[in-house]
Amino acid sequence: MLISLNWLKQYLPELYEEPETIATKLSESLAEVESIKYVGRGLENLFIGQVKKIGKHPKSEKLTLCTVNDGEKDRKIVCGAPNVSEGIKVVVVRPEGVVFNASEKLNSQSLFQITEREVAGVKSQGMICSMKELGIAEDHEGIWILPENSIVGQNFTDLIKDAIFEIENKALTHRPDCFSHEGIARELSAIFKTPFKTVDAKTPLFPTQKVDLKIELRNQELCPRFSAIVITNVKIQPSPIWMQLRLMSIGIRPINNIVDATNYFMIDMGQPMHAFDYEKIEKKKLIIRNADDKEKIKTLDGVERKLTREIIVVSDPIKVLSIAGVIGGESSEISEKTKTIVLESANWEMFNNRRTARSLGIRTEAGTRFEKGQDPSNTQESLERAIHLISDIAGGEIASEFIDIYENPVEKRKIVFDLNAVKKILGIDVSKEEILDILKHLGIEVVGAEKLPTKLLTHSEGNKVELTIPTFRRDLNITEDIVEEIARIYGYEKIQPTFPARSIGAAKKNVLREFIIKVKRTLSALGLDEIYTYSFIGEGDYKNVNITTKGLIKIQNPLAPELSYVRNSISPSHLAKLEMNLKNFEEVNIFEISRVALRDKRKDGLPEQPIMMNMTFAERGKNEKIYMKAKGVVDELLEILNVNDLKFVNIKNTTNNNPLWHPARSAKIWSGETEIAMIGEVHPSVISNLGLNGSVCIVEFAIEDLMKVSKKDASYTPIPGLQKIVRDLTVWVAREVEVQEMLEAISENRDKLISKIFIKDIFEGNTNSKTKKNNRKSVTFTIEIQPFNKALLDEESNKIVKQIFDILEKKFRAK
Amino acid sequence: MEKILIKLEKHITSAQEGLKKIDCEKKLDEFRVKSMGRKSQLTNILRSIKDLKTEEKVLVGKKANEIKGKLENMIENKMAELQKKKVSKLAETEWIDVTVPGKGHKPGHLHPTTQMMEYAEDIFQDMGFEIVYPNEIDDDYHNFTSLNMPEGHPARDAWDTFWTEEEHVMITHTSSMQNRILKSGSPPIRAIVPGKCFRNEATDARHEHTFYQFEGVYVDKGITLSDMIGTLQAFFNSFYERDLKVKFTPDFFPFVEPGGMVSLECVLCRGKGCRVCKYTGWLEILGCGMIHPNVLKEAGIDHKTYTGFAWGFGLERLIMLKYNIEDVRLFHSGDLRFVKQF
Repeated sequence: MLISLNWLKQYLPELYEEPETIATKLSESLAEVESIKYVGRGLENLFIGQVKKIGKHPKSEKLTLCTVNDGEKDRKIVCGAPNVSEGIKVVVVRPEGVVFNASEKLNSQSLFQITEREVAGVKSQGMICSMKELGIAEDHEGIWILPENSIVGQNFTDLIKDAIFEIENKALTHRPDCFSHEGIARELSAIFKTPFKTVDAKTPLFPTQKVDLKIELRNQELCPRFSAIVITNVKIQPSPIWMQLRLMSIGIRPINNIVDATNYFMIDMGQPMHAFDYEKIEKKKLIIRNADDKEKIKTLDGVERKLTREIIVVSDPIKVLSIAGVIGGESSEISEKTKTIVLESANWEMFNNRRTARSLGIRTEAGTRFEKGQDPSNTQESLERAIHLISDIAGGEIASEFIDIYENPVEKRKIVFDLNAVKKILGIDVSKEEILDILKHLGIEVVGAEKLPTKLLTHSEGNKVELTIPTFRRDLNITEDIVEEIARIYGYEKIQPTFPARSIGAAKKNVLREFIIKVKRTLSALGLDEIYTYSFIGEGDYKNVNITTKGLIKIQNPLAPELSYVRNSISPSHLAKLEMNLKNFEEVNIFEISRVALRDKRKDGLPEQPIMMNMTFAERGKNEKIYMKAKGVVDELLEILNVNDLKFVNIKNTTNNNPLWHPARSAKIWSGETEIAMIGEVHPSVISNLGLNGSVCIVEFAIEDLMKVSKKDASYTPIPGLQKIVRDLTVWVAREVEVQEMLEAISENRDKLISKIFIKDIFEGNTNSKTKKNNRKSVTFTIEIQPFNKALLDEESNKIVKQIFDILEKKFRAK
Repeated sequence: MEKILIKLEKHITSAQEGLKKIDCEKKLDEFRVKSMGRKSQLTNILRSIKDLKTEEKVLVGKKANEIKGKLENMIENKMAELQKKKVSKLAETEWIDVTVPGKGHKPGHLHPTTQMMEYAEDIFQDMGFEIVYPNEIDDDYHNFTSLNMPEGHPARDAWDTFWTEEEHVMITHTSSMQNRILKSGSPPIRAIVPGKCFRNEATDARHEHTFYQFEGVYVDKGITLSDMIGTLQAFFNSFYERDLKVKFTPDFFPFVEPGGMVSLECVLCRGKGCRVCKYTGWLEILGCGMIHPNVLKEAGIDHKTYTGFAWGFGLERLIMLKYNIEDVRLFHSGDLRFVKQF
């Protein structure tokens, strides 16, 4: 939001602070001033002049020699603009004056000094300026033609110079009153303790004639107040130069005096207004009502819009004239021919106004103000001020009564305020006098101040006053709101940091967090890099990995098609990142831990959002052992996490036919009765879908399930006194026999003296050969035997090993 | 008997001679076997003792043991000598290239957000805050309504929201947990909520639709705004391991009152003014304020007895400042060229 310092000074005649100081204080006490723009800084010696005569330039066809009166004297000025004509009023820069350099960019602020010099052989006593030379707009096609009512000889330098504050209005969502110069000025009056000058009540103007106009307000709830007046015999023309400059300085394009006047009070007081062309109102009746579902209106921006029943409009008996509080319609637009206007100043309910603007996708200055909740009290005063201004700049006579439909006037809110709340909430001491002074400057009336003790006493009941809140401060409802007012005007910078008193107890640890940190640390130590990818995903990334998006939750308003769903697995996101990463690295070992979203619902109605972990191992080129690499990491991780009773079940042996996974090189991982993970190479078709020339193995863990089976504490058994005996046993079995089966078979019938059995080595010979002999593999087991009562004889350990061999022979035809 | 004694003498003399020629441990071992082992001459000699008379046995036996001891001594001395020699030559014989890369896993890298999050979490945990993790998808009530933002509230515009087809919210801030935290226990309540958030806005080097936020709440008797400033300052001093100034400026968030922004003395220029802080000397770091009574009421906390504060800041910003990262989109790019630098 842009705020002009000149404009503010209308309300603050005694404010002499530098713009920088004002900006700093506003930032500290209200909302951040993002920048200060100095309009016309550096300009000198500019005056309003009138072109009296245009003569030919003796040496150039394109140039003219103009006689211009600038109030001081007639000047001969060479002009090259195509739009110069006799009688027009212009801005003249006298010799030694300074303007902006039109050959540079507008915002470069590069200045250019004018001297009396010869232009194509003829002396020019100054220059007629374009908008660009004055720093107003990029327009440099011709000179700037001022409105006819501009005053010749007026010092233009004084008129144009201003400081414009750009204020971050996000922090003012709750302050509709501050979307105006009047509101900001009131704040500054409190901040700098400088008098706030209210606009003088003007002598009321009375109707001199009466035209017909009926108003029917059908929805009080959405239109709490509707004020209007008819003015006739207005002359539509450009606004005077001071008003045009005001509007342009805060970024509003001047249109004509009537439209400009409505805009002016919107910016001045925060009350948007609207002017209708009276002649275009059918049956001379305005109806404020909800639109019908099939109604349409062509709005002032030239767009035809479909309306709905939720939208409130101003219409005549035949057609919709405007979308109330948002934008006007073309059909009743003010034109050069307009003679009579209906000036509307109404109050529109904020929530509906916001919904309307959003559903239609229109952002207007009016909507920005109404959706914050404007004060209904404003409509009358803004209309009164506007009538005066319009009669000044457009002439005309009042042609109706002052129409004002206002069934439920807002009342000033009263708050009982305990001055101790300041200390209680802020933790600082602010004196009674200071508090009362701040409240006064903010327009808040205090009743009962004289009864307050001279010095505030904590825990006393006698520190209460009654506050009357002005109607424009709808944000002040409770004690805390008042405390904030005091704090920000008093100055937050004066608050000294303190610490809350608390017991020395340690915070309860989040076990899930500790577990995840352990997993992450372990995986990074095992060589995996952690990446983050979006929770959003698109149809394409799922198609690539052979999964449909059926199980995914859809986003109503995605940023892009590739972000239309919430993922239910991390794998598709990671697989999509492989092409890029394999370009840069020969080997990619990555992981991520994140929530995913499922269609299943939790008890509270929200989607199930389990924390999942994905690991992806990829290499350029074919690596037959990539599964082993992944499993190696999984084995090590599970050992560190103390997860026992593991079982890997090849999906070849199950009904799982998820087409993401390789049908014979993928397994579910179980710990006891809990399924904790899935590991496997991705299906070859996925690799080709992704355009990869490489090997990829992925692992998916459900972190919460994993945590359940991860034993936090190790278990201890006393170290035995007798030396353990270690034996190796090598057998030949068919290649298809899984070592896990063999180990299970052994464990089922194991001798109680066996403390540990593990695979020492597997030798597969030439797996490519199809001969029968080569379809076997040799497996070497290491068997640890732990005697505990007495040392074992060789024969006894041999017997144990033999038992194992017998089992293997019987079950797997081991040799 | 004489013969045997002579043999023994001879054995020791020849052993002495033989020993001189030995120059390595392996040869010494062979020598030991040859001169003292089961098949050695000495053993043969000793075996022949059994044929002697008793008195002779004693004499010869004594001598034989003496010889054996002498021999053992000689071999041991030689061994010591050889080992000493070997050690002195180690530098030449056993040199290796100690600069060759070691074997084993090359360590991976944790994402900078993970690292920063853990670091910040630890500080708050030490300050007595519990760590709570948010949902990714939550309902309107927890993300907005319970935070004093009823439906249609204009302030909701500040949170460009992704809605799921089921009318749930991709959480726009981790304040989505605040109502649950306040409800779950009785004061004192201290908790932080770090987590992934979403905003429906176009991305560029400074804006990302997915980002990490760090929310905190503190509710107890007698908690004030100056306590909040003190607590946050203590956090940042610990975070940056030096004393930094903080300042509070007004801002509006419906769930706090008074509400504002905490700015931190620019960590790059130390408040002198630089490009990063736009020459103000301050970095706007977090939104915060005293928890609005409506929020406390909604969670069933007596707002007349208890007060509290809450804050929230973005993690990426701090990380970008720390490492001078120019583009926020790198965080979720999955690009290993980024991650491998941390």
